[in-house]
Amino acid sequence: MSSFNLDHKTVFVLDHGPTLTESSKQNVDFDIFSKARPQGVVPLAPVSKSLWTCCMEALCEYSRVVWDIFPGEKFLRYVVSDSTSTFLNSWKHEEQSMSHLMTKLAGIGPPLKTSDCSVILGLVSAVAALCEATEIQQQTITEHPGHIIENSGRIVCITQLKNDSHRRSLEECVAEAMKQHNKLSESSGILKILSIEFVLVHVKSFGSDCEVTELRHVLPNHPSVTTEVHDVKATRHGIAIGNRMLNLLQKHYNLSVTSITGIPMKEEQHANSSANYDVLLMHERLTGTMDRAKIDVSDNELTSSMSLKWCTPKINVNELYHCTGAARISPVDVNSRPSLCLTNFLLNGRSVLLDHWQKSGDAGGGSGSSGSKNTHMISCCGSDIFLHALDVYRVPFEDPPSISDGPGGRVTDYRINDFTEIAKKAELLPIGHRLKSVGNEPINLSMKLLDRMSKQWPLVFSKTIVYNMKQAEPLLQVITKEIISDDEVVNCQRVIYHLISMEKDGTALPVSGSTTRGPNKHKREEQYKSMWNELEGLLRLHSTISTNHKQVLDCLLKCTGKESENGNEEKPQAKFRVSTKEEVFESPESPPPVKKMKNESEMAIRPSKGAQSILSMWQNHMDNQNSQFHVEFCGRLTSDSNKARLYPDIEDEVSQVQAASSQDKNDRSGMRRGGGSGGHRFGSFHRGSRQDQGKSGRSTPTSHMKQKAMKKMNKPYSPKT
Amino acid sequence: MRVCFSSLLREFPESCAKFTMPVIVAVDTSLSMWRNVFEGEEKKTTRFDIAEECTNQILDNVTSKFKLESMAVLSCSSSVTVLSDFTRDCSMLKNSLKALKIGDKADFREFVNYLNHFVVKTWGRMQSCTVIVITDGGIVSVESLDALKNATTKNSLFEFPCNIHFLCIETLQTLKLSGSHYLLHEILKKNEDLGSVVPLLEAKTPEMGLPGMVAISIDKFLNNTLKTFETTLSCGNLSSRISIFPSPKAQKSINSSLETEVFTVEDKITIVGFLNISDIRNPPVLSRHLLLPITSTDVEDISTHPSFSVVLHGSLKMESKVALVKLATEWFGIIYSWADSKTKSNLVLSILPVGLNCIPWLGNFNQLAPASMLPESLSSKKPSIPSFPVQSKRFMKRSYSQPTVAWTRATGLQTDVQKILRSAKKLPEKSHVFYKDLNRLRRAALSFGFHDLLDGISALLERECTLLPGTAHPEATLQLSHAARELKSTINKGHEHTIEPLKTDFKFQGLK
Repeated sequence: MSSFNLDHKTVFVLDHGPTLTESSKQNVDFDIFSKARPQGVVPLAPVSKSLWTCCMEALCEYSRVVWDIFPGEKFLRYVVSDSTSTFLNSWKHEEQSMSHLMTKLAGIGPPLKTSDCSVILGLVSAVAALCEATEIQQQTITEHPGHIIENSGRIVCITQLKNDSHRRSLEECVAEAMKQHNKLSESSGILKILSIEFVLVHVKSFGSDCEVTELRHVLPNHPSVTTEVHDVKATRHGIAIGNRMLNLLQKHYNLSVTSITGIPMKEEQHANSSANYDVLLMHERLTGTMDRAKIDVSDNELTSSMSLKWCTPKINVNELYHCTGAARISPVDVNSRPSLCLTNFLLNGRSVLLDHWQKSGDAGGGSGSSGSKNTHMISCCGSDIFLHALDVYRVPFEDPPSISDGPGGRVTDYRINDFTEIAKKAELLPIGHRLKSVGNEPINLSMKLLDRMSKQWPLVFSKTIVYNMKQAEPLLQVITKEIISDDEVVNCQRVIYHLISMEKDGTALPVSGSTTRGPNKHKREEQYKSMWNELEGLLRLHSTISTNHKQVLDCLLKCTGKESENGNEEKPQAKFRVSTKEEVFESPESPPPVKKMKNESEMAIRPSKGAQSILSMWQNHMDNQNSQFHVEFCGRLTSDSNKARLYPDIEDEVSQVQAASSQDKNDRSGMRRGGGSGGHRFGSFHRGSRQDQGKSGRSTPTSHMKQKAMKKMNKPYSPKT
Repeated sequence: MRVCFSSLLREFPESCAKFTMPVIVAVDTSLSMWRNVFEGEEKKTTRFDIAEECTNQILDNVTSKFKLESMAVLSCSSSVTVLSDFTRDCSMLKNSLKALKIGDKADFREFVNYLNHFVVKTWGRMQSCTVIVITDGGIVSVESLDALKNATTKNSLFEFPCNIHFLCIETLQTLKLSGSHYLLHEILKKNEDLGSVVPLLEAKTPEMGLPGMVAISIDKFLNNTLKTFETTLSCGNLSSRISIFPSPKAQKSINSSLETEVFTVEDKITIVGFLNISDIRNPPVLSRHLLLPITSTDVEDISTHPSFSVVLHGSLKMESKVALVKLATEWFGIIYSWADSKTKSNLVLSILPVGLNCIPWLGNFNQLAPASMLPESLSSKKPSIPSFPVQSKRFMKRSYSQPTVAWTRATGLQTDVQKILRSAKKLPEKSHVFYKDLNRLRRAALSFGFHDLLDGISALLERECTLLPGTAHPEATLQLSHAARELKSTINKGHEHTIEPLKTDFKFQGLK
């Protein structure tokens, strides 16, 4: 069962008969002089408002506040009753607006002077309107068939009663109409009404003595109908009616009235000085504060139950306040200068902190120390202005130990910047409606993204080599994508080839904690081994995403000498798979297998000690030179003609093949010299780095080198002529 | 003699007897507490003695298990005395017990009123608290229950979320016979069944003696209710075991199938994405909690064992972001870095209200996705990617963000008339503004059935015509009298009609 509160639907019945044409006997001066009155000019005679005008002004104010505070939640309808009854709007969202109401009101004009007018017709129509479902109720019915809708509503009838027996006849009419409609609801599809609150607003002009008893009672014979009678005299320009309606509104929707005090405003005349102003707001009661103010319905101005003092705005948008409640506001006097000033200021996107302002030492809110704390905040979120209640009380976990004192708090090499990249990529935006083609809930896409990006994600730098390598970055960027293009596959393969050539060239790896001074060959082999294992594990985890992902893995397996696997026969056992089987190479000219496999179970690599010996330097140098001379590009060896085809795996892609072959033509010599399977640029880079080594006499895996490498890597892949 | 605790266990419905922080221990000091537990025994033990021991045991137990826990001790009879305000200092709490004094008659209504004031002044109305009342069962009288029931102004007993446990130094049978059992359960009913009634005594005195028996009962009670809340926080394939302090409260709410459901934080909470603090704009939350990473104790030095929570915290702090985390189906929270002082910061979870649409300016949580998910063509064609805050476009603009007519106050009408007069004095330059405001006023007057006003304004404009200075542009006179005429003659032309400026032959070139 889903229940809709009594205030979900309100129908106003407007008496459009001769009684309301009567003047309120109160005049309004419209010809006032803001500056000195010119000599000899007599102000024009004031005009008098009819009772109808007073009521319609008040009605519009009531409606305005309801739609400001409950957009799309609370619904209002209007029935004009004279010799017939006319609806001004329906329960539809688009007809719940001030402009719609104003247009329709203008359409019906001032009340008729014919004598056959009665509100009875309007009351019957109002009951019928309550039987109709609002858009929200309709949605509930369609989405949850079989649910019982608890349907109640309020009827506010603005009229002039003759006497108490007239009131009783109207009560009877509503009760009878409800009975009939509920009978009808059993056979037809209309909603049954559980209860009605029937509010009679008896309006009369100033000086009228037509009094009715103000009361609130449940009809003795109809317990589901409650009647309330209000007797209002249109005193003070008719504002009494307006005030009574606002008071009723506050009661009907259980609203709070809050005054924002001390708003600094520049004076029109004196731009240098500023005076402080107050603005009265209405809003839903805030959770977390217990506003126990009793609502008395009177003809007086609304009085605030809470005063909040303006604090000069200085809000850090990146600070999160602990907010316990937020409520939409509506200014009581929307067009007053202070109200306009405040709302325009906020609509520009600014927020203001407010202090609870207590005249007396009331124990209602705040702890003893709350004097200096900001208790509220007012800001515009989207199209609406909200009043936020901030928590000023003790934090249940105050003064906790810092996270750096807890588990993992002393670790210093977290990959925080890398995680930030993930957080940036998974930054959420309200774009669900743009993703209609996706069958999935949009939020699940984000979860899939996070899953993909963290398939193998070491928390600390000391547990990874791959993520420390600038050279591997392009591959790491690409591989976490859901769809990778063929171009990106080529780029990944290029990274792998580059890593192969690095290994061949003996480039030291950026192993954290390693102060590798000199090419401790054995150590380096181990490091490369670990790096390849880590990379393989990573690619393997992603290889199931698409065939292109698989291709990147296959490329790696081929390069490291492992046969490409078909399908998913072999699942990765561990993140860092340590292979112990003998490496098999397809070509005798391929790089020699890693000689000795030291039993390494962990990725941690101890820093090598001491500088390298001259002998090892020399050997290293000679090895490199020799390798340049005698290693033939394996692709060429296996090809039929003298031409080697790069990337045989993607030959189905015509463009790729073209690119590869053209590149091949131009770069053949480079490849020969480089001896690797990458392009000549990689080779030349490594010659450069070796020269560096030669000069300094030790290997320096410095950032300078990495930058250089990156520079070259990032160049567009077009061969130089 | 065998002791059977089955009756004790029955008194603990798992779902509702959970402990929430902070804790208040209240000792009933009414005269009846001075009765001996068992008459005719050699060693006289009063219920008051037992109560004191119980309190000590509870204080010890809670403060040793929860270092961050704040506790307070009260004594209550016809009035309530604070023995110790909220503190984490166990010895201070225990010392305060020395001030326990014999009172007079128990007054539960006074106790409830005092408690409301006492808790709210420190913790506000959103923080849930546990109240442990140590009594002989006689703390609630028929009169006080009736008085509480008749207090129609309040829907619930307490002004804050409260779990109330009555530890009764009495056997279940005696409680039932005396009627206290019924009265205490009536109180629980008024508190949405949050709490329990625990008889601490058994019908037969066990061998271990009275204090031992009570100690076992208390232990049982604390072990059942005093649990740390643990869950796994995950983000993709990264995860961290964490404890949530204080324990999150279950929420009763209506789910999307319109059924009332009790929502509890699940054993695995998942980060679904990230948001900028500047975008989420201080949403209202139900409660906030500290997230403390837990590492299995077999690791030698836990502080050097990497934890995902720490990476997450570092990143959120650096980027001023929050992580949106799914606590259960249709229930979300936000995780962010929070600092109590400048040096100590922590990972904190704020729990949002149940529902996918609970924050209007964030929109439906299920409709959020990373920008990279937008199809290429869309993101390039339309450079404006939707962003926060979500505008409620479905409904009309608010009254304060569009021109609105409000004439209930005389000043409202006067301001609108003044505006027209100001631009009337500057005709014909201000012709556009003049006619716009004039038409707005005309439409409003028609809506309110205020036709007399239109005659009045017409007269006003005619007078303005006569007051124009000699230097005025000749067109001003023409426009003013045209407008004055039109106002009167178009009364029956309806709301849609617009008074157009008079087409004149003057080539307007300014007043130079």
